[in-house]
Amino acid sequence: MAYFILKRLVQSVFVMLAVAFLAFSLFRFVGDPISQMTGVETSVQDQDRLREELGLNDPFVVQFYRFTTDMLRGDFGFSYRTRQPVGDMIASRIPATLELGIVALLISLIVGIPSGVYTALRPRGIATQAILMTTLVGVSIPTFVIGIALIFLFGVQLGWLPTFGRGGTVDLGGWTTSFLTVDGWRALILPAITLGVYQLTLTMRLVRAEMMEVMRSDYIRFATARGIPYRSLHYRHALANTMVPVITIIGLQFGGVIAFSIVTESVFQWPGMGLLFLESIRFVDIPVMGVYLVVIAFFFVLVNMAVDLLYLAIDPRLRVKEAA
Amino acid sequence: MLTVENLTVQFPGRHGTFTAVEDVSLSIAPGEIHGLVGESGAGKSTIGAAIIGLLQPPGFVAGGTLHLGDTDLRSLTPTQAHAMRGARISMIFQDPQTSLNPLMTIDDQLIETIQAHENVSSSEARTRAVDLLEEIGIENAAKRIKAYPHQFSGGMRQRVVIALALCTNPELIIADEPTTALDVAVQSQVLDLIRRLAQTRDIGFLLITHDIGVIAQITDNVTVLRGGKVMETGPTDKVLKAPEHPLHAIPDGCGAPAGPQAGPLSGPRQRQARHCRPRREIRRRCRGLAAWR
Repeated sequence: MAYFILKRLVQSVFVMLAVAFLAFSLFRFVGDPISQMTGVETSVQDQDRLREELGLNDPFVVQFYRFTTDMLRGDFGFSYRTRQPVGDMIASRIPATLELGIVALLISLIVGIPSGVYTALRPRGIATQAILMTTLVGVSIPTFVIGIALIFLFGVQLGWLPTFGRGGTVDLGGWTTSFLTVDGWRALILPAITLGVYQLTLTMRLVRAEMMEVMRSDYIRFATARGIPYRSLHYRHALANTMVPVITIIGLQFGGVIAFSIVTESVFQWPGMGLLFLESIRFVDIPVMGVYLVVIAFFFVLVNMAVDLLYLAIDPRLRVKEAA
Repeated sequence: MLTVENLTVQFPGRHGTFTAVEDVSLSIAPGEIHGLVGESGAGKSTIGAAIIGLLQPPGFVAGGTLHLGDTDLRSLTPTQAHAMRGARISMIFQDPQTSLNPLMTIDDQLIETIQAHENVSSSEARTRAVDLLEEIGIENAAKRIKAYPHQFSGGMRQRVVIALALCTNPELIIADEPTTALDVAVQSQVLDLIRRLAQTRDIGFLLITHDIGVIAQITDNVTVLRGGKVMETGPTDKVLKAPEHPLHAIPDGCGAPAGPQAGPLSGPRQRQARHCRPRREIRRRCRGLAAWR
């Protein structure tokens, strides 16, 4: 068990190093940092002096070492565009994106898993066919179209919900949350649905396929032959076995939701990391882009770690194999 | 106890209806081990599934009667049928590797099964489960009951499966190829266990197998199936010693009851008997009817 976690930690360190290397290369080799920082009137001598001061003439390895250790200390450099520390810029955007991602994930799980189970248990029902048709439509329409359609319907035509921004937020020691105000929740609904739809369909179809597979397995047939009540048969025996593969995909998808909320955030002008990233691209703000990359990779690594630990919690076979 | 009369099972399909089981009759008394033998596809497992009410759709019982004691199994509602499963009829599957839920401890699975049919407390159910496991030959059951299925060996797992089928004291257990996935040494242990349980607990067993050796070793009566129809039925030694049909004839020296004193040979049986010389060859062949032909 401890060995398993240790192994995953070591792997994670390597993943993070690889991503840091990418971010560093982006920062160092895409355009010249000096010419980004200085104006046209700066003399060549001044430019060279600056280059020497910033250590840009040092060997590559030394620079990369400095870059990573700075990051570990929480020093992420300064934005070309706003001259603010990149760390602060990203940190102020993280709550918005995370809250959006979590609500989207919850929507997809709360709707996706039960409907997946339902459609698996009644494969021939009319409701099943209807759900499958609807989700097929849901998965084929691009995210931004869904977002715009929702804005048009609930924001413009019906006027029920706000169409952009986070609404009212409360600052909890640096973490701005929209969970504590009605206004914040109202603003969260449309973007969260938009972001969650794809994940929802995926979860549902995956749960359905896995569940149908599990329902055909010997241990379910044996449990049926022993007269185990259907409720326990479906939700205790079958669903737990279904969740083992489903959790992986959901975990990976959650990383994806955080990373690729860019489209949703730009449709709803949601002040999260995705929107920040888009703005950075527009202004070639390379330090911000690099740090965004690292932060996203960090989320992926965290989520994958969590998924692996969940595996251990669910599946006793893994616990023993790794301990031996 | 169990009476099956003129059972017919059909599977409607796109190209007409396939009759998997036709006009099969058999009966099992308490404590009797009734063998059901035939090639693969002969309809053995379908009969078992029809009795316990778990035919894979679109299969259905098209005719005949199924009685367990006074209960007409065909007239039960789905809820009644499900309540009867486990309580009165239970089942043992072929592969102990796959027939236990890998995510639940043995203890959980046993207690849940007992509590599904009887109103007893968890601790009472656990005590019963431990006693049962000990009876079935699992040593140190009080400790091992906390284990997960993958922590048991194949033979032990099949014992756990038997314990699960047994823990609600059913009248009838349908054992569908209970030893096929086990190695030979463990096979005979499990068969001995089944025979012992039939005797001590008066449970009727329907033992489905393609292995004539198994039939010879423990069954009281046997029904031979081919193509969904009964070829022959009767007391095991009679059927095996004086077969009316060449398919299930057993060569001398193979299986327990047939000995050198078996009656005069004639026809196909004589021909097969000549193949009997090397004993290893016989053993290999008797293991399956399919290979046997």
